[in-house]
Amino acid sequence: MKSYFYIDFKIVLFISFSNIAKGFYCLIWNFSLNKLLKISGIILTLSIAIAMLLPFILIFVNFLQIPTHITFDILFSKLWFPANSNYGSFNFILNSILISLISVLFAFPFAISIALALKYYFENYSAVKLLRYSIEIISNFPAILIGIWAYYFVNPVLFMFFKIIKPNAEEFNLLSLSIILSFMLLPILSKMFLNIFNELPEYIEEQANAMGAVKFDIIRKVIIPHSTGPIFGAMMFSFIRIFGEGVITLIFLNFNFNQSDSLLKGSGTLSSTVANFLFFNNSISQDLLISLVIVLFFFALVFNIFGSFLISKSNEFQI
Amino acid sequence: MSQLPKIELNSREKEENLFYKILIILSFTALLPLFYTMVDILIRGAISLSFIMKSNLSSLIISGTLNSLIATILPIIIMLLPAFILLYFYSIYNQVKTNRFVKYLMQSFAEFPSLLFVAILYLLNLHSFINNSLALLTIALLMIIFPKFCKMLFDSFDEIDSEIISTAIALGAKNRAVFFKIILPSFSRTVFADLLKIFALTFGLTIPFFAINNFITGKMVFLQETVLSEILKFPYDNQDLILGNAFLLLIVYLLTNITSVLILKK
Repeated sequence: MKSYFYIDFKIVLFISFSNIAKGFYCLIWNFSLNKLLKISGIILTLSIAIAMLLPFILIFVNFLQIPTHITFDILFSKLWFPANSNYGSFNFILNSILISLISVLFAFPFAISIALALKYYFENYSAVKLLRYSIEIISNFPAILIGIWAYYFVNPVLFMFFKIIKPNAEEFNLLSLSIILSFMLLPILSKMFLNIFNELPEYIEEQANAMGAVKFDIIRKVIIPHSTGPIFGAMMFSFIRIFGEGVITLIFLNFNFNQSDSLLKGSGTLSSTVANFLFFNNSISQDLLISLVIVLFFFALVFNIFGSFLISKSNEFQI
Repeated sequence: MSQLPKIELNSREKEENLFYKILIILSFTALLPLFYTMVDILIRGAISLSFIMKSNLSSLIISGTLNSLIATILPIIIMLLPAFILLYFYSIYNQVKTNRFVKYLMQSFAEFPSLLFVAILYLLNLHSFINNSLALLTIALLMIIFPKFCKMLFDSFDEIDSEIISTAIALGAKNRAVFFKIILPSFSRTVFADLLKIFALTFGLTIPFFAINNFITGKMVFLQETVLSEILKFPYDNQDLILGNAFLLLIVYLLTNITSVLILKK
């Protein structure tokens, strides 16, 4: 009896100890595994962020080593005489801002009308659904194809038109470039606007409808005021897309470093200068390239962050 | 025959009608140039390609297409693993603030111009260490498309009904089970469509293909690079070669994008 009790006690003791040990093991294992996964997730995200930011950081470090007077001359001077080491690129930056602004403003009314029409007017027409899919398909249309089409077929027509308005207009001018870039922008911007209108909560439209508002009133007084922030955000993304567009500007402004004041004349832009330097290793100084890349980076960063901020300010939106 | 009485529209209805007409005109005329571009390049390109394939330039086009396809697929395969690991943490530790920050970061990088990435690669002087255009191109394309693909994945994940995931967790499912048995199967079709979209996007990029071939001595022929270099050097002499290459570029782009849209539609 004694021995039996002794054995039983041993088994109970063993089981309880083993259970406690197992519990501890599970606790530690689960705790450490969860912690480990969390830490590794944070490390991975941070490392990806650092890996993406590292090139920019390196360039900034490189930038700091350049004598400041050269860099500020490059950014704020209009003097462009590479033979005398005068690399004033203020006009290039100004041209880039101008063509981006014109393209966005030119594409905006068309893009918003496409988005509004698809969302609020042509919803029930099955044939118009094709338009929706086609916007999806051509939203990332290769820039090189638009460049080819513009070079061979559109620009000659535009040039004839501008020649009538101003006889001394150049064949590859900034205004034609902005019009062609706005064609490129159109499906991208309309897709962004359509996404914005799709993300709007349905109840605001329903409530306005119940109050007796017609569609035009709903759009004018409810939809547009509700989505003003994201619309501006989308326009900022579009602005920076045109600002950094390299292919079409290169086709149009190949080896063009002129600095003219007229939009109907060919003149270099920021992206065309960077592209010319990169592709043909022209005798432009490395300082100029670094300065221009930093300006490009600065614009891209500011506009992207501000655009993302405007969109993410209201939780519902995603472009 | 008696005439129906003419209904007088009030000012609001007139405004509405006018707005409707303006919308129709603007929306249908705006996209016409792009559709015309596509049709034009398809017709002229097909004719040019048929001429080119009979000439001695056919090998240039074939090798260019194959090289471009390989160069596009390689970075996509490489980025799949880190992108899915990132998605795992994004979906499992679904915290609003962290996720919004990660998405914010990816969105900011996704919209960066490709020219900027290529310029940075040049300034980092990587081409003096890696004298292989395919390897350098893979690095450049990875830098460009990784944030775009991650943003696409996160957007797709955010569209999943979160109640399914919270129910699975409440029923005692582990993190890995939730990810592999619920999250991945529920949007595997979307991921495939996203992959096709990213392929089309990468295939359409011209700047990295053209720039990296200029950095190094050991050159490879790429479809995009041939189009741009020919249009810059001999725009009218080699028009057939340019349009033939453009036709192939457009066909690959359209096929992948249409497939992805059809997958999403289902």
